[in-house]
Amino acid sequence: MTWHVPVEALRRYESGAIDATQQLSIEAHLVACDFCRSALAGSANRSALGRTWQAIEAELAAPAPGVIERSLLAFGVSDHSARLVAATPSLRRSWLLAIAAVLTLAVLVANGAEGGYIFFLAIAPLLPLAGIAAAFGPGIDPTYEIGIAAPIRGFRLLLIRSVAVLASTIALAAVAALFLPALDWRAGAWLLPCLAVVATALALSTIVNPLRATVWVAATWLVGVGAATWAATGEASARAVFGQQMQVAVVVVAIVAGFVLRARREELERGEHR
Amino acid sequence: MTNVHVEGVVKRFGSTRALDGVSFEAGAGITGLLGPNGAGKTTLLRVLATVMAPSAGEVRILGRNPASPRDRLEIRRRLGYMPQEPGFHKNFTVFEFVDYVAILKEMTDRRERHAEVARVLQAVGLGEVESRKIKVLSGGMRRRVALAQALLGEPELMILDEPTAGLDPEQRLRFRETMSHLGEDRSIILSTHQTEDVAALCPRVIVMNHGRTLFAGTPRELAEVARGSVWLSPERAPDARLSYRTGEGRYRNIGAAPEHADLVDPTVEDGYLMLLGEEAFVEAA
Repeated sequence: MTWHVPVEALRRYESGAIDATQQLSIEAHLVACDFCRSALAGSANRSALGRTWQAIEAELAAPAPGVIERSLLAFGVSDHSARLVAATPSLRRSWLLAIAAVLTLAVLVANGAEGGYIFFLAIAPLLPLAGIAAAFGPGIDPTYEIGIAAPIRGFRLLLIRSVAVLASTIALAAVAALFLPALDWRAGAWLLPCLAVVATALALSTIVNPLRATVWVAATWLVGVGAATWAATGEASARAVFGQQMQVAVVVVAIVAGFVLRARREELERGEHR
Repeated sequence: MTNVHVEGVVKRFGSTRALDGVSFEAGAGITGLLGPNGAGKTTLLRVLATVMAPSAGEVRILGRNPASPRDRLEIRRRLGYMPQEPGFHKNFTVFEFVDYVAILKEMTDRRERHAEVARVLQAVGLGEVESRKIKVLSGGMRRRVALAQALLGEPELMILDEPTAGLDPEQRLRFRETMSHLGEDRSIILSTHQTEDVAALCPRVIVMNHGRTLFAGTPRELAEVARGSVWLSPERAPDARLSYRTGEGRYRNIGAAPEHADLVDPTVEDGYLMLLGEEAFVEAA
């Protein structure tokens, strides 16, 4: 080796105050030159090296992500959003099994009883609603208190978790719908009501406690379906209750709720400041 | 510099006044909050941590007003909070849990975040157990996990609600060591039942009862409240407000002088008991 990297250039390289071309050139030289490598090692900033080692150790110590996180990462979701989803209480296996059990029951009722289809269509939209209620809020999310005092936007956390719960529960309900007695339009008639009740509950969560919002919306939904079913006695009730009129109505409700949620989203950052 | 300013703060829950006109200020260093159960310590700390708003009164934290959304966000960015009963995602490992809280604290760069998680776990002595699930940890270790998350991001203000509860003597000493380092360049407000913690750690102490501040001063000043009222005697003093047999066989009495008694220097605990009055003696007895 006929030349060596000047000490000044090595210092700049070590501190990172160097452009990319010079950096590459010095690195190519370092690979071949024992003398410069030793010079660099001798002058290396100990605290910078310590930080680098600490970062490497931290990466080695970081556990491999679980199934939910791995699946989300595969879909291009950022690692921090994936962790926020993985911490959702209502995505635990026990919860999903409970949802599957309720759906199985609803399918059995739909297959076994006259008007059982209504039961399935009334229950299916409430399952994601229950999942979202169990995804955040005091007394449910174990880290609620720490989360409130943290700077993360509550609105963002709410949306991330709601989408994750909606997606998983809708997938389960869609599978259950395949086992309904007739695979016509009715098998999907729960989907829009599902979005409407969820959007309404989220919008209401900006005004009252999320759990209370969920209970009110669920009760209103069941009373509404019950009343419509009672009024439609004698007709082909599923068509009368969940027909076009109702689908249009729930879309309007979902849109209004979406606007309310957007307008009042700052309320979700307050914690118990309301 | 005043980092926490609280004036005439009231917090009502229905007809109960959990805080009934609390006022105090805290600057850099550790401020200890002492008081019996139900004194309002946790409510006060939750107000300071921006978890809840007071019903009345003025609160300023790090020079900002937590009632304003923008200020509140800024306070949360500079705050470390350990609740009295921190919940955990028990299926997470220690590392995953603290990493999760780091995400809640807006640390999105994975490498920097992981390095920070490793640093705080090391600081509370949990580096060796970082890959264990939280559900298999002892109560003392879980409190250290809770403390670790409060250290994330080197907050300027730390609010710690009974951080020493459930710690064994060795862990308590370790905790004091960690706190005394941290308290050198930031504000820490911690609540405790342990007068020894206050005497060992806090340059400043506030005593609360029934939602009010009874005392604010140094631990030495708190001890001085009982000056002239603490006696050692060979027999139990019948008129003492509190009398107990010490390890050396003599009786330590707080209150009027018994016969053949020696006046002794009061401790922080003596001062605290004197300050709380009859109620404390009923509880202690």
